Amino acid sequence: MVSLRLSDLQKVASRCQTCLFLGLALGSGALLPIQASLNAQLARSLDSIPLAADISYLTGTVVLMALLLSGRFDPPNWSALGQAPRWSWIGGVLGAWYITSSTYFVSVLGTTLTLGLVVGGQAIVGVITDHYGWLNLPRHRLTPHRRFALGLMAASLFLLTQPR
Amino acid sequence: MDMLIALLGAGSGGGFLSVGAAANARLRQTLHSPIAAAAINFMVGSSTLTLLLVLGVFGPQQLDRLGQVPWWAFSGGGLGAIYVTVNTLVVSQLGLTTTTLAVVCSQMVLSLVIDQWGWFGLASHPISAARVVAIGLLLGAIALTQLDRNRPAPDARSCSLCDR
Repeated sequence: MVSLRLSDLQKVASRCQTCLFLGLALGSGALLPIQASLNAQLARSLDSIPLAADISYLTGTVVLMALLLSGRFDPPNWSALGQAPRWSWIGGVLGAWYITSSTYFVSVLGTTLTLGLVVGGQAIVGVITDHYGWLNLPRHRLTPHRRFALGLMAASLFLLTQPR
Repeated sequence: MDMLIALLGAGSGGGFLSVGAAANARLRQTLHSPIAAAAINFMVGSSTLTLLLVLGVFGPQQLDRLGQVPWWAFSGGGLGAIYVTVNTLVVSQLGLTTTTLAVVCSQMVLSLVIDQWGWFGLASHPISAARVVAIGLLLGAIALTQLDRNRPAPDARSCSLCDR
């Protein structure tokens, strides 16, 4: 009896934990349009999109460094940094383009259209790189499901970009 | 605005993020720390932008305007850093598919809300049926591609659609 109750308790506890992490995932996703909107305001105040993107990226770097130095996370293996292939450093340059373009387009097109296009672009490029196994990623061929998904994305982007 | 420019500008931001996600995954693997990989990513991005600004590629900047910026507009970068950190915690608990769907879903729903009421000083873009359908299609397409994917090796775990 006791063991049964205990396992029931564990089930409830693990379910609570899943709900907690689901809440965290939903909350973190909500940060993205807020981030883009705040960057857009920064760009308006400074009258410069690249300067706003740079300041946003710099403060993000400082916060991440502070989190690393707080010692709450596993210490990174900095000595291995030299072994990382050179192309793996390029993520930041590509991210800089995302921050800059989203800062600009959010103030012109609004958050829905901008982030809809961003997510669409991510998904479409993701399916293509998966198909060819580019970028050192495991290869996932285009299946009928994925072709249908690409069609859905095209329809979605078409609807999103309709003038109102 | 010309929709082709929007598609290319904002869509390419997403496409680059997708490529950058692969680069970040590689850095994560080398450093054994998602936070450190994100810190490198942010550092490279902000250095690139700073260099371009200092070189005067974007023309003269009005740094004296910094005093006129509302304080909250500076928090976009910090939110980005928190997003990356929370995301790494969530992915390890919920897996890629659930995390991706939760993040994209809340991101798009809050985008609609921000657009509807024009929060954070943005112009208002009221919700329309076409937009709601478009976001539904986008989520359906992403669910299809994610559910179609074979389980990746634990080391390569990254939410490519969430990576910022």
